[in-house]
Amino acid sequence: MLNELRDLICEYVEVDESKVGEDSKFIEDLGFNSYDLMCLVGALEEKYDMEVNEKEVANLRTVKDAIRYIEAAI
Amino acid sequence: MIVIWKVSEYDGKTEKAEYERCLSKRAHAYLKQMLKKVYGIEKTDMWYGENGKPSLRGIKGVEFNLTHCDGLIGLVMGEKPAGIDAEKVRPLCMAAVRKTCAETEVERILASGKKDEMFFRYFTLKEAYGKAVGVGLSYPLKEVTFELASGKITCNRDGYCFKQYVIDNEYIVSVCYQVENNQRQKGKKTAKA
Repeated sequence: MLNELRDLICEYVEVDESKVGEDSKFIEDLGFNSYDLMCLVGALEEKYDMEVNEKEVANLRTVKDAIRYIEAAI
Repeated sequence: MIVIWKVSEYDGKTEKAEYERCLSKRAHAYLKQMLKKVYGIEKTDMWYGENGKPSLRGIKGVEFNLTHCDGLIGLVMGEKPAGIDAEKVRPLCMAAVRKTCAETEVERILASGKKDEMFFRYFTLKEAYGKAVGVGLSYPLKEVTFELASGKITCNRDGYCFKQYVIDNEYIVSVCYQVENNQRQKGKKTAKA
């Protein structure tokens, strides 16, 4: 799951793949802005056939948060 | 009052996150300068709401909001709650379009000769609205919709008016203001784009 997410993350922000870990924070560590985050969340919804409520997007602060969310949803 | 600063664009030499941190610090420094210049406020004690909206502790009647993107910083200040969002126009990400825009908005984006720009016009309006309300992007984005026809911006939510600027053909800046009932009657929630 981490590798899949890492590939997706690197599509949306300019970050060295090796710097993307489970504890990486999307905004503070990986340089995501609001648009990048919406691209990622939209892509995750389509890839894993799930829906992420907008209020829940704000709770996806780290890569680990996203992995947990996906694993619980699929 | 709306103030826009052009700043250095991301050069790819440092981490993007570091660039974003520098922009954020610079935006707050500009805010402090403007608070001093316009309102004579020397000391600022900032606090952040549940969704990260900054406010000044102990000071009433001064509302502000900040935004930054690759190459630009924006500030809106005034007496009423307001939100501002700036984005550099980038290639369209259809997953983000489907995630944030209502069906009618998606149709208009896809029918536009400037799809990328059209999307960012909608996206920045939605984010500016969320920032004015104080919820950021944590609200049902597809339910708050905009009409951009005839050079006017119309929203399906009462109580707010909007302005939008296209800068150097590559940046979109949207601003959302809370308005009084009588202003709303006069303005009908519209502003020239």
